Parts: sequence; structure tokens; C-alpha cells
Amino acid sequence: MIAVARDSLALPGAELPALAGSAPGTWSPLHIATDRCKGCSLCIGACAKQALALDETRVNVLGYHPILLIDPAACTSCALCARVCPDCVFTVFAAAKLPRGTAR
Amino acid sequence: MTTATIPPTTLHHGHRVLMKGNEAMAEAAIRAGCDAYFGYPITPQAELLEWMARRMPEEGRVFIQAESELGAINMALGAAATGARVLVSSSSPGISLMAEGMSYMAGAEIPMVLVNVMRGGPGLGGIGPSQADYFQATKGHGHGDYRVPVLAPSSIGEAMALMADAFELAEKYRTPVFILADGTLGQAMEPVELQFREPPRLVAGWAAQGAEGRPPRVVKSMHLEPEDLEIHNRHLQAKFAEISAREVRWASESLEDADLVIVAYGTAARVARTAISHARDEGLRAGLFRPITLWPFPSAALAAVAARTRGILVVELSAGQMVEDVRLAVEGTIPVAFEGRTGGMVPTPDEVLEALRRLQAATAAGRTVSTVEVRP
Amino acid sequence: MTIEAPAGARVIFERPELLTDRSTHYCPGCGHGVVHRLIAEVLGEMGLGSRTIAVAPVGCAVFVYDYIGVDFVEAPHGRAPAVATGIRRVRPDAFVLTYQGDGDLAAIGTAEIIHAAGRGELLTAVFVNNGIYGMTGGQMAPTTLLGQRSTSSPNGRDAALDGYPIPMTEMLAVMPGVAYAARGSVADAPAIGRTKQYLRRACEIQLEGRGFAIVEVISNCPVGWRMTPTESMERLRDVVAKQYRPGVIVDRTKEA
Repeated sequence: MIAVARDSLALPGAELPALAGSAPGTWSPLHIATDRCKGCSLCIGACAKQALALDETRVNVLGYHPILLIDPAACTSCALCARVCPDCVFTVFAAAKLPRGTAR
Repeated sequence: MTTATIPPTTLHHGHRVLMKGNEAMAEAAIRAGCDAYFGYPITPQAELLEWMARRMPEEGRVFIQAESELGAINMALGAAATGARVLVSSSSPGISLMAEGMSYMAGAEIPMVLVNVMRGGPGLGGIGPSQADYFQATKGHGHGDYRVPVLAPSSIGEAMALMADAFELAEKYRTPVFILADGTLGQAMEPVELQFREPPRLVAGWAAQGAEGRPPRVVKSMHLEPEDLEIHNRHLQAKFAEISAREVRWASESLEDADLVIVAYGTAARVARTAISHARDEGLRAGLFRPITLWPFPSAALAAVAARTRGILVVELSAGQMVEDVRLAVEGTIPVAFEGRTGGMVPTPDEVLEALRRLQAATAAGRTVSTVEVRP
Repeated sequence: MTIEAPAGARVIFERPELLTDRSTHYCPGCGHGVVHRLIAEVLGEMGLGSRTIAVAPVGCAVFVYDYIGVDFVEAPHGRAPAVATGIRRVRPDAFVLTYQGDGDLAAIGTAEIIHAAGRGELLTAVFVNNGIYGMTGGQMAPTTLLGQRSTSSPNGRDAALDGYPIPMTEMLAVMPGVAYAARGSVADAPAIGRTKQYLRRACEIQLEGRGFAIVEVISNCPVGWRMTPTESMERLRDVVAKQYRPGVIVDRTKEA
């Protein structure tokens, strides 16, 4: 899943980027407001699955490398990243039922 | 403990009573609809606070003796920011502490009435009456480009009437308003005919009251971008210009045939009145020009009066503060002399009469009088 | 603006409604952002948003009114508890909250917080203590630790010259007017969770009319401390929390 860097500071709209390379209909457990991220990396330390990293290939409108979910399959929707984030970058979803075969 | 000079239950509108100035001002504020009073004890206005301590709870309103004048003015800022009608009183050293709060309220356009019962300074000074806070009140008091209306009563009855006017001015223009009294006015007892007035309330569409069904409001004075702060300051200046055009007040006595004019306010005006009476007894035609708004200063009216006379004597309980505004108003067209006492001393009618005689002699001989004389 | 959950998913965590859409001016990793979010969550969950009149400080959080969507009154530096007292007394139905940093509350505003607490004013006070003056460039605060460097203690705080860090919340907790005093931390997710509980209790106490409630939150200042955000949270947990210990300091509602 690639979080798309946007031009405006407003919270991006409701569409969710699809999981790249996955079957149609699968979706990312995290919505990342890329333009809010300040690259502080506190979420990286909070994630028990090492699923997050700064995207050093791009710079957002605030001038930082934004956070990126590099391993969506590892994400358990624990939301610790969201709870430590000072900028409310993350919206966290979980499947209504146990989903994609991954043990949680 | 100071006891009230008169039981409040017998204070009926229209009645004539003997009342202490501090208590009269307090009761006038209550009848004008004051919702909250915050203060701190300081001589010579403790009676105002004590009257409020008893009466405000009786009326179901708010009274707090704060931890300091700093606490009091900030409590007032908060209460007034919600649209409440708020009074604070203090005396000169306490008023200095309130300069910060007043600047913030002027910047945030928060209405409030502040009574300064002036005492001798500078510093801890003394507890006698004084008018040495004129500069402080009229030239901005706290930091920044702002003015507030300043009302100066010269009798207890007038102080009561101006209290209602002060709340009205404050809310009409969204500004703090000063009432400048002095220790004599605060402590003296005078017969007054009780004239209470409660000005109607304006809808405070700017106030912080809880964002129910509307976007949140912020009552603030900070505008960090210079362009924004300049726009805000221009808005404030336009407001001050409007107040200056519409709210000037002054009174006069015996000016029709006056050769010499005494300009004085508050207690000094009362001394001047006696001196004028004695002067006329000896054929000296003097009159009184009494500013009631010290800001906006009645410059145009004074200039018009000055044009018809030979000389002005300014009398103040200070080393000379209003005299500067008088000189500005007449722009050097006629001589302006000064008579003042400091330290809590009050000029006597004889001293003022003597100054009138000197001025008479000087102007008759065609000499200009421009020195500021302060008696040692 | 809300983000639609994908079909078949449920929302585990989302941005609270009472946070405005504005991106904050706070430095990367600054704890103010977390505390703002917790306040927005608690006020939202308790349905207090439209009743709240909050008081903003001077310091980095001077812009708090741009980020939390409730009515605000700006206070001069340190005066928030007095401003809040005025609001509280004339608006008995309002919910009144103050937000202050360590300079605001423990330096210039010492008298105001002590007397508001001493009077038992029905206020909820949030005290964000990061041991430094961020907004003005990183000077020493009353809560700066011994040995800690700042731009006005370049050789480290020295007790002989600069005195000792002031335990404000412990001092306030002595007074009977203080119904609740707690200290939280933003060092990690569990600490943040406990801090939210303290904040919630402090708000309930105002609604119950029990007295003054204060929640100190020890927080970080990566730029002022000359650390990365991650390092600063480690310092918060390993150094600061040993001196300013998290926990409930007093809860007089339990003793009653």
C-alpha cells in the first residue's frame, strides 16, 4: 500500500488506496494522512511488527519524509501507532470478522 | 470591620441619603446590573470591596476577594469574556498591577469597568487623595497602542450616575472603561439623591459561552502576523476615533463672562469652585471648565472656551498631568498656568485663589505664563 | 472530515471530532499533540464540547485554540486559573478547562494556580510539564531537572544557583480544595492510556462538583532537549519519570 502524498493540508478524502499487488477488494488496515506526518518516528518505535518506516523517496507538503506502512500483512490493527502519534496521522481499521488468515 | 453606613434595604431610587463615596459607587454598580465583582483590599477603597462582599451574594451575584490585584483583573477578564457585566476596583499601586490585564482586554475588546480611587504615589506612596494617575489612565496604562474611556466624577452623586454610563460605554464599544475617583471622593460622605439606572444589555455575539450549535469562538488579543495585527490596530484606532467623536463630556460654571478659566476635575474641581466664588467676590471674573471624560479629552470645547478668555489655570492633585493636555488643546494661543499639590495634600481654595490672582496680574500685564509651579 | 471504513471493516481508532483539521505548529514528536488529542477524545466522549469554555496559555500551546474546537479565552501568561475562575463563577453551567505549560503554571502563574486550587474552584487544570521553555527558545523552567542543560542554564541546572525543580502538583495536592491531583506521561502508549483515564476522572470531578482537579502530564521537548523524538521519550520514561513520578497523587473523592 502506498500512501499518496497530497498537496493540501486538509484531511484527505474517503477513498482508500488499494493494497498493491493483492487480490481485488483487499484493503489496508491503516489510512495515513500523509500531509500531517512530521516524520517523528514515534510510531515506528511503537509498532511491535516493524511494519512502519519513513518513506525516504518522497517529501510531504510539510517538508518531512512521511510514514509508510511497509508491511500491511503484518499489521494487527493494534493502533499503538495511532495512540503515540502527536499528529493524528493514522486511522485504524480491523476486519469485522477475523480476516485474511493471519493469526492475531 | 467597617460597618455599612446605611442599610441597603432602605436605599430606594429617588431617596435622599447621606452616603460614603465608595459604598455609593458599589451600590450604583449593583443597581446597574453588575454580575460580578473582583477586588483586593487596598486603602482608600476597601469599603467598596466590603460593600460588594455583603451585597453581591444577597443578590445572587459573584463576589471574589482575589489573591492580588493581578488575580482580580484576570478573573474579570475571564468573566467579562463570557459577556458578563463586571466591575473591579482598586487604588493606584493595585491599578499598576492591572495594566497587563487592561492591555489584554483592550486588545481582545472585552468590556469591563475599573474604578481607581487614586492615592499618593509613586510606589507605595501614601493613602491621601491624588490625581497623579491621569497619565496612567489616559495614555494607555498598559502596553500597546490603545486608549480607554476615562470618566472623572467630582461628586458622589455624579459617581453613581457615571457608573451606569461606564457599563453602557464599555458594552457599546467593547472596551474597558476607567472611573477615576480619588481618596476624598471615596471616603467622604455626602447627601445624594439616589438615581440608579440599569443600562439595557446588548447581545454579546462575540463572547465565549460554549459552542452550542455554532462554530467555536476565541476571545483573544494575539494576531501573530504583522499584517493581521496592523488590521486589528486600525480597527481599534477607528473605534477610538468614534468614541472621541461621540462620547466627549464636560461641564462648565460661570464661563459666560469669565476672563480666566480654571480647568480641573474631580476633587480639584470642587476646590476650584470655592476659589472661583471667592474670586468673584473680589471682582475677578473666573469660571470653571470641568472635563468629565479625561479621555477623550474635551479639547475642542476647551479651545473654544479659551478663545474667549485671557488665561487658564489648571489645578490638579499632582505635579501636573492634565495640564499637558490643556496646553495641547489651546496650542499656545493663551497662557496656561498650573497649581498643584502632591503627596496626598489637597490644594486649598486660598492657594487656588492666590494662583488666580497671579495669573490675573500676569495676563493683565501681557506677559505669558508658562512655568509649572508646584508648591514645595 | 471523516474517513469511510472499507466495507466489512470496523474503525479501531480515528481522529476525534473535537480536533480541528489544522496541522499543528508543534515540533515533530512533541507531546502537546498527544495531550490535545486526549482532551479532544475525553470531551467528545463525555459530550462536553458545546459546554466547554477553555482557557489558553502563553507558551508553545498558545495556539491550542486553533486545534481543539471549543470556545476559548486567551489568558495572559500564567493567569489562566484566574481567568478560568472568572468564567466558572459567572457561567455555572459551563465546563471550564485550563491548559498550561510549566512556565505558565509553575513560574509566572504560581499565585494564580495555588489560589484557584486553594479555593477549590470547579475547574479541570491540565499542566503539561516538559521541563523547558519551548516557545522562547529552550530556557530553563522551574521544573527543569538538576544538571539539565538549557539556554539559560548552559552548564546544567545547579542547585546552588538555580534552586531545585519545583514539585507543583504535590504542593497543590496538600490543600483540601484540591479534590484530585494526578500525573500522567506521554512516554509510551500505556502511559498515554493511563493519562487519558486521569483526564477523564478530572473532568468527572468537575461535573460532580467535588472541587479542583489537576492533571499534570510530563511531556517531552525534542528540540529543547536536543534529542530525537524517540530519544526524548526514552528520557521521559527513564529520567523525568523518576523525579516527577506518574500516578494519582491525591484523590479526596475516594477518602470521602
